[in-house]
Amino acid sequence: MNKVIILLLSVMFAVTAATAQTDVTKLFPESIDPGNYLADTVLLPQSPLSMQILFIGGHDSVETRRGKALAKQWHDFIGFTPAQAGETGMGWVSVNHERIVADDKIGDGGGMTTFKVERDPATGLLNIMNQTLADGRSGKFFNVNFDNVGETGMNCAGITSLYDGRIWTAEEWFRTSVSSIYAGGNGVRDTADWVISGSGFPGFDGDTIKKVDNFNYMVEIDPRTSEAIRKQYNWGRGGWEGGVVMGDNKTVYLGEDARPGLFTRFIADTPGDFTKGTYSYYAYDEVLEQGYWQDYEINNIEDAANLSTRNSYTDGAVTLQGKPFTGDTAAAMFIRNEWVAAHNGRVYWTETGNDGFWNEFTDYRLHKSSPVSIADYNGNNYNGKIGNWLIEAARMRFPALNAVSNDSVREWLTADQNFRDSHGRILCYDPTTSQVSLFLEGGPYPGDANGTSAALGAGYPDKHFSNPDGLNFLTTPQGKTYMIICEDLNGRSYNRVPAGAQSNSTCELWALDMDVPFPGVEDLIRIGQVPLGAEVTGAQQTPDGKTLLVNSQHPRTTNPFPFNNSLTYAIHGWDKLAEVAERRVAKLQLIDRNDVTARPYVNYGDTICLADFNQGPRTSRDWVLKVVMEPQIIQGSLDIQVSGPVSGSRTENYFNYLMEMPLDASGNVVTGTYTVTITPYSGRNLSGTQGVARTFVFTLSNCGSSNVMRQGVNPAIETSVEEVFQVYPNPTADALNFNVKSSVAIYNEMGQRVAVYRDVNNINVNDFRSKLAGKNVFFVKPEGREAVKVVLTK
Amino acid sequence: MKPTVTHWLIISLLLAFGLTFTAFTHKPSKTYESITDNIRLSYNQGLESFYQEVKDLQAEADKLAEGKGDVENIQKQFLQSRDAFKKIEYLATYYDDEFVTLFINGAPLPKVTQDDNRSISQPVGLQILEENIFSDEPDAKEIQILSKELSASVRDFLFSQKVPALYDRFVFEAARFELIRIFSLGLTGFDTPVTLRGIEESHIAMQALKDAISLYDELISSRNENLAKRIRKNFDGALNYLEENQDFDSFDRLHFLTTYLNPLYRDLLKAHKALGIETIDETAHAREKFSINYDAENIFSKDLINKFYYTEQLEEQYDDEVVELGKLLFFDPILSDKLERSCASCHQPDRAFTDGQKKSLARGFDGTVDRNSPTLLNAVYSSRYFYDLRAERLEKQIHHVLFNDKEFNMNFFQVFNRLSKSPEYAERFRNVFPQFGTNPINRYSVATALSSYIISLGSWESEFDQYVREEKDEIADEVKRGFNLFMGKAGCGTCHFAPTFNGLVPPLYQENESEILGVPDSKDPAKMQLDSDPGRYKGLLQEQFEIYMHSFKTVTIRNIEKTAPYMHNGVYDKLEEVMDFYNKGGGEGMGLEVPYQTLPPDPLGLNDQEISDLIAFMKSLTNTDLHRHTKPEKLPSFPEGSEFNKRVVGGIY
Repeated sequence: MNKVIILLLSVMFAVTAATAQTDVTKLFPESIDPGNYLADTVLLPQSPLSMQILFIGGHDSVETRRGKALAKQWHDFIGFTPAQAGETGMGWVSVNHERIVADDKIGDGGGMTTFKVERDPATGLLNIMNQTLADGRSGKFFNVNFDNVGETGMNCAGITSLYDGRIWTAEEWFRTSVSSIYAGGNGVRDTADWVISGSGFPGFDGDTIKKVDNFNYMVEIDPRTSEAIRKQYNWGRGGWEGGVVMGDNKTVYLGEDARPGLFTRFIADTPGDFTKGTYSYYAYDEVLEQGYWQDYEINNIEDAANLSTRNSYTDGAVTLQGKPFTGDTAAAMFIRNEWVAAHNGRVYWTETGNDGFWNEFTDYRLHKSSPVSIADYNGNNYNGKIGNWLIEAARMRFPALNAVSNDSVREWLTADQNFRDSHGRILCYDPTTSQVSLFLEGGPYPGDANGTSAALGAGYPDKHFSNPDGLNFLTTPQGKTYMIICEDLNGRSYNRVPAGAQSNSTCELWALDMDVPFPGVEDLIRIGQVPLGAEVTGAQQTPDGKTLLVNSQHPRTTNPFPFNNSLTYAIHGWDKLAEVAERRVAKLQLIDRNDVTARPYVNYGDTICLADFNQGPRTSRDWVLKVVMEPQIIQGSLDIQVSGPVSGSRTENYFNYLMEMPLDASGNVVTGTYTVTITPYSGRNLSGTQGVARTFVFTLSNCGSSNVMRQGVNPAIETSVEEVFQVYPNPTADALNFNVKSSVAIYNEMGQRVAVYRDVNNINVNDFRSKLAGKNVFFVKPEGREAVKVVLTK
Repeated sequence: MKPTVTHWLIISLLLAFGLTFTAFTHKPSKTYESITDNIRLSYNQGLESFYQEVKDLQAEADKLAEGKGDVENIQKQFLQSRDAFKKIEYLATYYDDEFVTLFINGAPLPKVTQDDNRSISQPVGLQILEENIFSDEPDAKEIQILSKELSASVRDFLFSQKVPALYDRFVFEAARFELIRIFSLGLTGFDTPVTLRGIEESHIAMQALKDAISLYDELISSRNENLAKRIRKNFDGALNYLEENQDFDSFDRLHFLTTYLNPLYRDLLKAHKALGIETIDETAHAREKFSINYDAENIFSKDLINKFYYTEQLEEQYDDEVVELGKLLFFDPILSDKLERSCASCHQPDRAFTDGQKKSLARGFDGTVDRNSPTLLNAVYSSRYFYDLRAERLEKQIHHVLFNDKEFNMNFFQVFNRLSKSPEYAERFRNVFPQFGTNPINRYSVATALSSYIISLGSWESEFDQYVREEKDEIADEVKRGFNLFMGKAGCGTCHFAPTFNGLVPPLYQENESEILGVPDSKDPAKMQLDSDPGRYKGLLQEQFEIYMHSFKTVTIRNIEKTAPYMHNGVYDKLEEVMDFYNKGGGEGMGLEVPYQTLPPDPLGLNDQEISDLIAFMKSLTNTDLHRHTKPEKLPSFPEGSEFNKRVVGGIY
């Protein structure tokens, strides 16, 4: 009898389960039992990075020569001038204000604000110091006085000299008429002709020019006196955005934000004296496939006797606008150069891209296959060059272009309606070779016409990089250098933001470990400390490497005050990342030691084909598991455990964590399914605090038959390994990472559903923290599994 | 044998088993997972079809350019392309409205590009193609260029659209936004200005919604049978109505709205919730604001649109206290240099917050300011402020008035100084803005308080709103006719979008349009010239483009009965005069030269009855609660003997 009951019961339950099976949904229950969760609780400590507000546009007041005034807004560039020996404090901060606004006290046009900071020895925060300037102004914030150089405007990016922190501001947005700066009286009101004086340039002082011709230069300012020094007439008039003065105190690189834009260079005759030197633009030889510098004279001395030539600043000797893109020595074309920075002697800059098609490039280039009648400029045909870096970028995005010649790619790029540069990239210039190369391409480009990611409904990638703008470097006290990249999305279309109403459209702030070879989007580290929806523009480190100064330009979405204003704030704690080395997140690659090709990161469940690795004589000892930690900190150790057809383990202390794949008795690597578990520790040799282990499962295969995918999760291959869902905290942002891309629901302490995130690799606690009613506990429930309890700790 | 417990147990088990078994055999034919897969596949097929049609259109265009084509064929192919687009519109615009508007189905007008390096981009897409293909003298070369561009754009769109996942939540949200789109854009002929196929296209769009939602029918039924029935009935009814009433002019849009659209809008929300599908609130950043309040059940709901989307202020910070403080400041002439004027001088509550002047009086009686005073009722519903759109947030608007030497001629420091001298103001500010501690009177708090008062002036309480919301049973026939004209033959609804009746573009109402109408400087036909006010051209510096010359913000028709005189320069005193202006085709229609006029210059052909009906409808948009806007009885006092105590509530003039 009992057996019958049991049988009936089990059948009933089986059937119920089967019924429940058809009811299994992608929808999450609206509540769960808060007492029923997996035994393991995840602790999510606060990130060691913290924010401090320094300067609020439109709210803090600045001292001007005409009294106190509310500071301007639209913060953009930040420069930092370190205090020299004998000077107090840490140094001076200079902030650009991008918009053109009339202001009786500050001055019309754009502007800059300066202030001095010191590190508080007790709190580690930055204090803004009181100053009394040479002209008697006294207080905390000062506007930079541009009266003596004829006002300024559109102050976007700029230059901090790597040598001594001298500052230049870039007057970016190119103006062509006086009325266009007057703005009906809301802009620059004094539109009388300007007489240049005190600039220190031979041949420029004494010139009378139209007011509008006195804009669109790099302007040097002195943060100590909060005054403009001179406009760099000799660097040309153009839509300058970023630049860098190298550590030799002589060489300057400039980027022009235009379509097409220039990359130019100025080398001073005497270090530190930028009034005399040689100017050139970056040109490109499409036959030899190499770049070179073409000298270009910025002068108006050419016809000293003929005043009309001397005074033609608009389209004469001083303004570049389009002229270098002509003739046989035509310049290389760039599509909107933004910020420029330098590290280890190399120059990096962001090319932010452009929505729509590249028809403007066609205008600046002779169409070789089907000649088009193109308007001449000063009697020369446009002949703008396309460099190899762009051809490489195009091939990355459209693999079919690998089969054709470089020139065919050039044809293809400039033909109508082929290429939409929706994402942009970061480029690198190496002065030792004079060559420009592609450093980091934007993307991924889901669903391009050549189907780089054709999986239907594949969803938004974990890391997405588009329209980079601000660029700088941060070196921590431990000597680790990160490239800091600010996005400035040109648009939300084309999968640049996640799908669905109310999706995250934040411009991201990224850090990239400069030790990563062949960096890709996957290597970017998200810095979470930004106000929602803000465009983070300037990024500038303090000399001690502990703080990153950041500008949040007028956010479009709204936040509580003051995050709804343009503001300058500091992210402290870069030195503290090393103290929480156990919180690093592991990523895994399988590499061939002899092959320098970049390898993708292993995703849970991947199949990796041995056949994809280079052929040639080598031993099995060449198969190496490489663990990349995020963030990379030269601290701590890893416990690596490998189990599979052959098992092994290793304690690894040294950065560039490598472990050879375990081999069989004959010394061969064995195909099959492997599980790799990596546990980080804060100290060496597995001492100190133990972090959260991360597990990877992958299948190593010969991939002999044609239906086996290259690296990727292959649904056709059955694995006997049960998927394990793991949650582990992300140290730089208040976020939880997942082992596998998952859909999860968040429940508060009472078990009520408060949030749902689908197909994500991580979730940021700040997205739903306010829904937790002040409690530090919540549950994460992945689809079809039990909930995991998470406790927020200090 | 007496039944034992065991027997009962077995019986109940068998019963349970039986029931379960029945449930098992009658298993729902589709799980959730396969519904979205289904819809995703269908969307993908729709995209492919659309691309194919567009490629065929390009082929026809090539033939035409080579002299081998046929205008009739290309017109037919064009209409097929539009139909193919309408099938996928609800998801295409949901996923990537930006791309659709820029490259596929945007207005046939030049635009300024949004990047730093601004320039004019010429219109592309289906609508400019319509203009060309159906013109009296089609330019084959132009059509060829445009169709090639469209084809490339759709190609790129197609591939980029392969990527986004589809979740149940998207289906319901997209469907509801599409209902708003059908109502405010489809049926008004907004995107088919030449062929006027708004009714046919709405049918296609509606059918696509029905096809998608009906896949959920069983599941909805299992939760709420009546709900499922109503949804089916209303979809069928709507489709039927669209089939049987194809004439653009006579289509009864009000009936369609109240009988089919609003019930569907409500019921799809109920279905969304009944199924336990997550809502927008659960997927968003805690702080990020969305313009549409998804929980609103009616398109004319008071809270359809989130007022705080347009403001810096957060809803959590908005309360009676901050509104009260803002109201005091609004009526307080202390903000003006000579203590004689306040915001209420030009925005008087008993004139629907206007002043009845063509252009407001300038400070010191020295002439007038540049433009007519617009109403502040519902002014919060806008992405930009002033006729020339130069202020980007409500909180930024006050800055301009303060500084302007024809208005208040003050600066912030002076304002802070004055206000802080009043103990009452100081205390109020401290209470309302405790986060500032000892210095609560600053730019942020002053602007926030004033804006709060403006936010409180937002209300949709006209008899028309009440009728649509079924709070009122009847409304006059002329109002109904007027509404249908407004949204149909007269074309008003293609710029004054329902339900805000201003320039916020549906269905998300996130951006405010401006238009070039060719408003004259005088009513007298003999004397009139194009009014010289440059409008948006001289607003923000970044917008100094010729396509914005004489372009002005599209303000709201709500409460228009009370806000005479009309237009940016107050040129018209009566609504009849305004109607005459539009009936003639605006400035260009009246023979003035108006470069880039966006208002179609063709006469509307409205007769006197129609004009009278339109005016009746516009009058029905007057709020019934205007009496609640009162002046404060007194203003905060200053220490004894202060000259500030002599100031008058609302100012002297």
